[in-house]
Amino acid sequence: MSNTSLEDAKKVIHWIQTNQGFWNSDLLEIKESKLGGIGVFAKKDIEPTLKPELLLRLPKDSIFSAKKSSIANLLYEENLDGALALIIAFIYENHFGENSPWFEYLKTIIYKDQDNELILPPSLWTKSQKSLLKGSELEILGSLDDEENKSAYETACTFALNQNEISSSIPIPWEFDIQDKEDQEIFEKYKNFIAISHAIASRDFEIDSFHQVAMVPGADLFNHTNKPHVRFESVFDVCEMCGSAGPCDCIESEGEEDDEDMDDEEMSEEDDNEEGEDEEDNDNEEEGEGNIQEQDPEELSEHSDHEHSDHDHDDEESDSEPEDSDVEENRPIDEQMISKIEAALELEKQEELKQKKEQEHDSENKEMIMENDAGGKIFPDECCDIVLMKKVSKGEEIFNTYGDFNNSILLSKYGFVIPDNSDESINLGLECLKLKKTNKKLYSKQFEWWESKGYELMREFFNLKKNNCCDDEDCDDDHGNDDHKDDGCKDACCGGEGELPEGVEEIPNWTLEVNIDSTGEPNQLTYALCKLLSLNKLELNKFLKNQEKGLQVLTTNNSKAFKILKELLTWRLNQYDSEIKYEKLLKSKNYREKLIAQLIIHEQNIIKKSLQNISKKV
Amino acid sequence: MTTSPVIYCAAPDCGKETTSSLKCPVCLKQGLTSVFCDQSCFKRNWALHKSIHNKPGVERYDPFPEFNYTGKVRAQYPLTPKRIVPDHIAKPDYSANGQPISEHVSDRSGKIPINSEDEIKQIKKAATLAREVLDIAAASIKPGITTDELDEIVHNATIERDSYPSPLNYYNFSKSVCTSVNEVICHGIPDKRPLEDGDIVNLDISLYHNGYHADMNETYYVGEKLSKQAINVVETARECLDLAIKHCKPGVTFRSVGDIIEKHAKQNNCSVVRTYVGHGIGKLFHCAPQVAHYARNKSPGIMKPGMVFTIEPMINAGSYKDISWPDDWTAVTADGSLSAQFEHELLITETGVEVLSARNEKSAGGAVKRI
Repeated sequence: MSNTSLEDAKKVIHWIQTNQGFWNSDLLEIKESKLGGIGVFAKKDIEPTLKPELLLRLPKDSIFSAKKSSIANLLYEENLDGALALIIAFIYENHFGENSPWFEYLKTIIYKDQDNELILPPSLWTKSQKSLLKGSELEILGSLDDEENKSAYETACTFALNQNEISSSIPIPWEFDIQDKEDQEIFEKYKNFIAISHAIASRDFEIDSFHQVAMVPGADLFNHTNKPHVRFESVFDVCEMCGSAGPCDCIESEGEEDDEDMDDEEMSEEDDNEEGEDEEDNDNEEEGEGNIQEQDPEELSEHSDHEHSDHDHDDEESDSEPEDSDVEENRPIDEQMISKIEAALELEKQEELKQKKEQEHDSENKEMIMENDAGGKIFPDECCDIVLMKKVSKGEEIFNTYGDFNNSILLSKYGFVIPDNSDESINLGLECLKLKKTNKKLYSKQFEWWESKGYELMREFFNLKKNNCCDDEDCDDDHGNDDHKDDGCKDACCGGEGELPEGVEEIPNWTLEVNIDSTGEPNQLTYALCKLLSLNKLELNKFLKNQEKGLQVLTTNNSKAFKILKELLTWRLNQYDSEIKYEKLLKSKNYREKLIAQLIIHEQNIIKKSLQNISKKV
Repeated sequence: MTTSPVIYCAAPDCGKETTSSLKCPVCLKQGLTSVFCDQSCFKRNWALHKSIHNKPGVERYDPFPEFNYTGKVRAQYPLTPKRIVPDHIAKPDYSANGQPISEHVSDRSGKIPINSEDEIKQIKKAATLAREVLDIAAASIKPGITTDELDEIVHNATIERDSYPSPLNYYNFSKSVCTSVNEVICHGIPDKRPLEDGDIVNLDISLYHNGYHADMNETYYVGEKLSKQAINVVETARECLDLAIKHCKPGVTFRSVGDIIEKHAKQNNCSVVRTYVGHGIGKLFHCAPQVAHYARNKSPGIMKPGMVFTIEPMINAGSYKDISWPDDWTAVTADGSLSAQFEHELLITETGVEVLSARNEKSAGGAVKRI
């Protein structure tokens, strides 16, 4: 939910238009949203027929990221990146006031409410408010815990102090100035930091491997739903050194696995040029290159594809005549040959001209090409877009999705809940652990197998059955957004943040994977665990002997298994404080209490529904 | 036993030692010897190589007769053959094949180098030498001298100082200095055009000494016929740089330099070129930071002691827009209006800024009064 005011939103649109961006004001208008705050609405019926309709385009050069900020080099020096770097950059940037080129946008990011109170995440709510959250997913999954925030704050303060010590002309921003201050004052500053972090976390977008997360003016005006109309698009795989989406001349200094051929060859060129170079070495390198030229034309062409700028043998491909043998290569140059080269050059020139014309023609018709500060072209790959994927009617609010989040995540990250959130899920991890602890004798064998390998086997088993849900595109469909947006695909199936090497999946702890969904149905793993626990000694031995083939056993219906599930759910329901009348709190004038009530009632309803479903099966 | 001299391939993107006997026949007719490793080296570089060939019957010619020049300055070929740098002089990595690999390898993801005291000492030495070279070349500016003759002066003065002229073969740039006349904004290639009375010309000197680059430039008036407009654009550019330098100290954002420059340019009815930026310098010819010269730019980074970089505003009498000649180097104003540039190499100190490329009382050129 956007905290931006209507007036500020208009300033943001103006900022976009004066910073090489495009805001589709023919189709869009900004109005008050039913959800509170403002939202983006359709000015007319829009039906994206052949291709998605472009609503917002902003060059990556215009977004606000740590890499673009005034303190980019300081953050680099202290190895800070990701979300924390963005927050620190934001705080420093704010201190430059009107001198920041993002000033008009940054000042619309507010972290105080109308009464000038900080807008804080649940981890900094009052004790009594926090106690109302007892038993909620939010409490259970640790979102009331403040440790991570505290350590981020410490890192930020240390950064500010370090930089100030290196150069006193880099002042410590107020938020980080905690030297010789009273505890009360430090806590005040800390709360400001958290409110700012909260505001930024609720607005940032994951851009690419160079910028990482960043603020995208305008893109953050769209409100959240789990059935979004729009999609945030950004080319994620860019050069990590310069941010270029196309070919660039950066070379990673340590030979990485990727594009080995390319790197190697270029590195060897470097060797060639070093003075005092060992003769023998030199010869080898040259021989090596010769080989590539003559024997591996494919590799060569691949090379020039990638390395667009100025490689040794760059244009060789375009020289059409085959020149394979040494004899040919060393034939004397004559006038005839020169005229041939001239003719080829002329042809190339014509071709380029033609291509340029075509491109211009193309761009007029199809793609919107932005212009940079110097009047040069900025191609779509160098931009972030919001595009419309689904039909909207005139006057309808246009929604994005922040991800398929349950209410606890929505509340702790974005400060709102969806009363009937269909992405809700209730975790039974703690209850399973309790079961294990209280019935040591009965279940020790089952849990031993489950924890040592059963969980992973079953996970793989279900994933296979799902036909590898996360083969990229499928995954996107699943989550309704193909953006590379923050947490866009946080499901276990996707391996999360994408920091792991491709193909390697990060497997979450099993206790995080035993859930029931918003319809009250247990997920497959949860049922499999219950089924496993329901096996008697004999059945278990039989199962363990034949486990590789017999995993199917853990998916078939069995009333004993449902009984165990019922026990877990009953315990889960008892986690809440039964003394609290949440129905009454729904009408509370306190905004936070109302949100808490909505969240907890929804969770309890799901558990109750689940228990009802089960009673039919037991 | 006789040792034959080492022969290097004449292809600017190769430059390797070669035993080949493959020679350019056109050069031979002109009494030049250009040896290529093989036909591939020759073909790849023909377009560039032929710029040194004479045209029969004429002393000089315009290589781009079909090009829509924006002003009156024309390219005047043939260029002179590549000048030789003696073997004992340390060369940057791109000297043979044009690729500054060390720049490609250097991490550009936000790092701005901070130089140690020893590095600063070396950088200062290089800057002092570059200033000497600039002053020598500037003293020779007079109507009738060609920019190629200025290149020869710069080249010889540079190698006399055991230095490599940094522009030479940097991305295959064929000369040892950039000479930018009138509407040429920057990166002009020294050629056969004689300077005329009333021209303005910028000399952009860079050299590589003992592992460190230096970079500086100034715009000079040629002869006595100074137009009011030429004086305005040159003096405005000079003042823009001076104001920008005064603004530099630790804690200042790089992007704010552009605000200062554009403000002063506008006050004098001039515009600021946006395509070319100042840059970090030291072990590398060009590195972070980028210093854009126009207002409200988004160059990242903040100044800290030990950083060395250039500020080099290009100020146009007309529109800020630029286009390139077909040589892919020469940048000219899109409307053909005059353009002037000044560049200093700066060191951020604990308390402010030190101009490493400062003029001295003997330096040629200098400010004139507006008329």
